[in-house]
Amino acid sequence: MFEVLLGAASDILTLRTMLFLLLGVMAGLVIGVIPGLGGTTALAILMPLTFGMEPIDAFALAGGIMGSVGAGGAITAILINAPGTAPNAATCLDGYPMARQGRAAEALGATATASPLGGLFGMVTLLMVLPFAKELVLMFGPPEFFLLALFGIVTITLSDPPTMIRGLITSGIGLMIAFVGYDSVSGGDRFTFGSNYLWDGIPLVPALIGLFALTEMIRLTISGSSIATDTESVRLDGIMRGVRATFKHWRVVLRGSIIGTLIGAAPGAGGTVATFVSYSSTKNSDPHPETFGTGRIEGVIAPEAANNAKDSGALLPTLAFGIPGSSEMAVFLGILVLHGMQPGPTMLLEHERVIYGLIIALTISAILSAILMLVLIRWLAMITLVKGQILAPLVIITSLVGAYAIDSRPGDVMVAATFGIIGYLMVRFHYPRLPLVIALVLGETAERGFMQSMMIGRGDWKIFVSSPASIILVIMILGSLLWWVVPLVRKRSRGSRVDG
Amino acid sequence: MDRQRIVGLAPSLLLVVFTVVYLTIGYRTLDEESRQVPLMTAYLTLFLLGLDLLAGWRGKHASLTAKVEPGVTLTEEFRAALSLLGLVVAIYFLGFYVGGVLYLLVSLGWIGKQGLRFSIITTIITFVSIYLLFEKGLSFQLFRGVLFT
Repeated sequence: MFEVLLGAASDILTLRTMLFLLLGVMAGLVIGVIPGLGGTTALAILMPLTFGMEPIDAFALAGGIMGSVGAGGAITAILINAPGTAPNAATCLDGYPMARQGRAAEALGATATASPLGGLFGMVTLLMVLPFAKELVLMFGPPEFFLLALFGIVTITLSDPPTMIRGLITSGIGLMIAFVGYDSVSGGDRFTFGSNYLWDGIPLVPALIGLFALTEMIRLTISGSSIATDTESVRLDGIMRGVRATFKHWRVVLRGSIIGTLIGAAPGAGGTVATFVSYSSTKNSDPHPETFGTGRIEGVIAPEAANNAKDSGALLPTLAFGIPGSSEMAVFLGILVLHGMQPGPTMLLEHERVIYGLIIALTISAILSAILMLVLIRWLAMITLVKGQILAPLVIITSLVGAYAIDSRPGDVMVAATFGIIGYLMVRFHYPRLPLVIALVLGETAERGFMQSMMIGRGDWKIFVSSPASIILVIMILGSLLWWVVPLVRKRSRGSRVDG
Repeated sequence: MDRQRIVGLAPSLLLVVFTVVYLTIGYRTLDEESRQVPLMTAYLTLFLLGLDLLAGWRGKHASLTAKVEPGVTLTEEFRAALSLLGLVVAIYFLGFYVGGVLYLLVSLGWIGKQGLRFSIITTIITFVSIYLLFEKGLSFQLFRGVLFT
């Protein structure tokens, strides 16, 4: 294995290939910064350009994009609450409050450190498990997907006791919205009112742009103030504080990386699920979970580590079975086929050196994008000092352009604006937005997993405790319920005894 | 019951209406298999909304019905929401370039009270950047509006 690895390194570390890699990193950062556009779009745009290139150059370019697009997306998530890519939405939750407190540089410093660390962890794991990838990927079936989705929804909703009921309500509404469109189980359409646009359901990325970026810009338009008033946000010592905090919270990095790699490897789950599960598990294991969402550095580290680690995980099913772990990987699959490679079990044997080359390219890309981020942070953070009346219209226009650019549908612009107003009303009337987001993300996975499981188990609920992975997930769900509900019931009964 | 509490209950009441409409449409248009999970979710949401309304009625949600930012008037909130909706309508009819330029000039110059020169220069820089990045860099054509297509 080491001989092949060294051979792959010598293929990548040539001037020409490194230039393609750098080009990919820069393209990934730029496209990642634009709200709505992500790795899938970037790869789709650049795929025709790779035709005629040497395969290793094409993979260096693709690896550069995949490794850096998440880092680009985190920049806008932290600075203006606009997730550059859907998985970055989890970074908004604590990253943006940090920016508002004048700690943007600290949050960006943590991102620039946690991302490559997560990426490195994922790469090492991938190298180790590649020989026995099959068993790992096959651990996840419909019951496990349903339970994973349920775990995400339950932990996020219950983790904020003062708004627990309203959190459950918004997750219910989010699920109801997520069920709009084509039903992949029965084959019919639901709640579409004959509209072709709604056939695909409510698009997730425009909804996220609305709920995060536009909601915040409405607030800024009204207040007229800048995001941060403290010049601390552009100071260099803030960056180093973020870097140090990431190493200090190495457990958070490790947990996020493991979650990212595992969920990334499960086909269909996607990066957004990985980052939100990572965020919620970090929040739930903290002694003060109620302080999350107010600017906790761990709330930035956890999703960012998971975001980069998930790429390596997603490579597992893509390379080993030809089953893309995400939409980004589906486009990457196209690039592999374009260069005469047939993903599947034989690829691991026939093109071992190319696979290792790609893994090295992804690792270097994560490190390069982190270095570029660290260099640019000081200037990027200045955005938070721009007056709201100037910044808000500019971000609104850019966000709507990004929402449209995903699928070239004017309807996406309307969805983003509608969710922007809904998000503002939710903030105004104290309805938590996070359960709505997590339900929108996980709704389809949860329903498909549930229906398929019931079909496989012929209506027997025992299907949900029929494998070691599903038993672990059931224990985790019950554990989370007890963790939150028991103290609440105790507190209530103590309160009523005092009243009595 | 004071006015603030009634305002606080209004969103939950609206969500009850939304859920009931959702349930009605579900029963009328979906077959048994398709509606199983959505309607189960809707019934559960309706139950939770009942609990929330009950808590609100008893005044237990007093802290949740307070205003988000003191000093912000309803007119300012309406204006911000309307300007966003106005932009969406402008984009639909006039496209990103014409609608977006008009919106930026109005938002910066009139609502944001910035100087005319600053507003024009910022608008030009923004749209030249958008044009170069999307139309030239990514070969992606932005929507021109139903009036121009």
